[in-house]
Parts: sequence; C-alpha cells; structure tokens
Amino acid sequence: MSVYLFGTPGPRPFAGHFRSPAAGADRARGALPGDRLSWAGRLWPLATTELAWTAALAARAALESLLPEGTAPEGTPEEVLTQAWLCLYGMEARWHRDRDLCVLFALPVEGGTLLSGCGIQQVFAAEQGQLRPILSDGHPLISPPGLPEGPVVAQVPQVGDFYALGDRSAMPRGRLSRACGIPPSAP
Amino acid sequence: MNDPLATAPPTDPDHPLVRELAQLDLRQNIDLLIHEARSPASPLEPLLAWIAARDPALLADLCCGPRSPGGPALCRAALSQIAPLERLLTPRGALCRLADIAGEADRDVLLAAARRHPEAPWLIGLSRKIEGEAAGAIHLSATAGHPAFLSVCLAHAQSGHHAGLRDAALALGHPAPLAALLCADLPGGNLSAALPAIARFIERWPDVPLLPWLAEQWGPDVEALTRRLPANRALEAAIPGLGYSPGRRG
Repeated sequence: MSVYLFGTPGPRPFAGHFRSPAAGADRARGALPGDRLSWAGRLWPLATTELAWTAALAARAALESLLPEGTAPEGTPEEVLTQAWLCLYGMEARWHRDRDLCVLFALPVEGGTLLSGCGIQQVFAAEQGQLRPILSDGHPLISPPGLPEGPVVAQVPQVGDFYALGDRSAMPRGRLSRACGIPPSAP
Repeated sequence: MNDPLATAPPTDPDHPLVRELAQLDLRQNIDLLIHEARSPASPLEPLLAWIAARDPALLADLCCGPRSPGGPALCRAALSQIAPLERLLTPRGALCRLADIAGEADRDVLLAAARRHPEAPWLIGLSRKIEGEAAGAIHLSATAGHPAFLSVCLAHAQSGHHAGLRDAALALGHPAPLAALLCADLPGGNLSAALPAIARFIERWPDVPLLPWLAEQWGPDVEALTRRLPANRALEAAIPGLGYSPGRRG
C-alpha cells in the first residue's frame, strides 16, 4: 500500500512534496504496524525551489526518524499514527509558520485502513481501475492545511493505494502516474 | 550576433538621404527609400528614426510591408525602431515578419523578440523556425533570470526542443531546462533525453543545486531518478554537494 498526493497545478507541481520511502527501497517490511505506515505530503510549496526542497527534506527526515536503521515503531496502530504526528510536531517551528502543511497517513488494519491527515480536500481509492472518492461531504478528515491541534483518525473499509487531493489543488488531468509523481518503471 | 538594441539610434539624423527627403512627399518616394534600404550607403538607423518620427506607417511599409527589401542591414536597423513597429503591427506581426525577411540577421530578431516578450507563446514556433534542432537556446539564454524562465523551459520541452534545453542548461549553469525535460510528456519517454543531459550537467556544474529543480517536476521519489544516472566518479563526488545523501541510495 502506498499514499500519493496529487501534484499542484502550475509549473512546479511537486514543490515541497515528500513521501514515505518506496517499498523495497529503504524500508524493511515486517509484521509491526509501523512497517506498513505510508504517508505523502507537502510543505512550503509556494516557497522558492530551494526552500521548498529544504522544507520537504526536513519533513522527510522527521518522519523517517520513525524508521531508524530499517526498524519500525512499535505499538498499536493508533499509537503508531500518534508517533508519526509527534515527528511533525517536533520539527522546528519555522517549518509550520505558514500553516501550509498537507499530509495524509495511511496504515492498514484489520477491516480496512486507518487514515489521518490535514490539508486534505478528498481521498481517492483505486477500485476496478477507477479512482473513487471515499470521503463524504463534511468528513472530519477534510480539513485546512497546517498542523491540527487534535489530529483526526478515521478508519475506512478500503485497502490498497490512496490518492490525496491537497489544499488548493484541482483534480489533475492526464496519466495518474504523472499527476502523482510516480516514477516510470525502470527500463 | 549583433545586438541592435544595445545602442539607441541617434535622435538627430544626419543622413544624406534625409536632407533630400525632407523636401519631398515620403509616400511618393518610397521607391527611393526601398532602393536605399536594399543597398544602404550609410547606416540606416538614423533614416528609420527620422521616418518613424514623421510617418510610422511608412516605416512599417518599408521594414515589414510586402515591398520591403528585407535583408540583414534593414532588419537590424528596424530593431532600433521596434516599438513603433510593434504598435502598428502587433509584436508578433512585426517581429515574425522581420525574422522572415532578415536573412542572416534572423537570430538578432529572435534575440530581440525574446528580450522584449519573454513569455510570448509564439516565440516557441519562431525559435524552431530559426534555430532548427537547437530551438530554444536563444530564447532561454535571453530569459534566464526572468520570473517566467521555468514556464518558458516547460513550453520548449512540450515542443520537444531537447537539444536547446540541454544546451541552455549547460551554458547557463541553470537546472530549470533539465527539470523541464523531465516534465515533458513526449513520445519515446523523456528520460532518454534527460538522463544524459543531467549527467553532463553535474559534471560541468557540480556545485549547482540540481535536485530541488528535478524533484519539483519529477516528484518526491527523486532517488528513483538519481539511481538511473550512469555510475561515474565525478557524479558520485558531486552528489553530496547537490544536497543528496549517497547513503540513502538504493
């Protein structure tokens, strides 16, 4: 399972974007819930190219501290999500100054997936080759950007990959892989 | 290339023909002007400045009209009066027409167009017409540092101007043209054009931060891109300076 955040319309679609390491690349997959935690987000997308990159690296480093040396955080799924949020709360305050953080966490559990996030307009799941929105109007996960005071955690019955539409984004056209910045298969 | 915009024409023309024409009806003597423009005996800039002040429409006829003799000398001189020509003919009309009839001065016209209208979409086609395989090099070199530079790069990428983008990146030491190559949705895949260019860029400009520019077009999994670069000691040495940690390479 992976989580993807759609690129932002405009000439810099993935400015400030960060994502959990790809399966098999940097993280060991095991039996603990933390092994299966995935995330995608963006921070400082309107900053200059270099600053947006630095912000994304900062968020990435904070979240990957959950996975030191290929290990995984322990605890119940809810505790793992709390640890993930604490990583973001622990970042230097300047990164959250603009209150523009968008992020979605997903953690598979029995009977579906736990989702948590902020700055999300909608979440889509791929069903029979089609993207289908899974959040109803007014769903608590639909929230403004920026670190929330009390993160919402919701369980959905869907499993598999999730695609998030962040704040101030429009549904992209064209290939899904391009819209989400998914690398093409190696030749 | 000459740079006709670099020096302003004299405002007080002292052209032999001017003294003669001053006593005549210009419209009735356009043949004389055309003859002079075809084989100028002295610089044309003062003459065109004088005509522009008296009869801008005649200036447009002489420089861009169907009877215009064209040629490098006239078109370079016309660039010194490009503002009134653009007012009469629109920027695209004036500059594309001048480029058509400029002969060997067509690159001067393209450079002037890129400086005056860096975001104009018609510059993409004009670049291809004038520069051929290297389309984009002049436009990109003229717009480096402009806020729309990345958008200009993306427009050239969408038109398949790989060589121009690569050459501009290497010449300018700016990663945006390479990033645009990654974004282009081109037949055959954009990676085949981008990867060798990225490798050459890193070798030539090892201290320029490249990954931030690539990541905002490619996506956050930038390691999937850097892993595809050819193994090379210069690249390995350069990567830490680019803000990339080799320890995280898969």
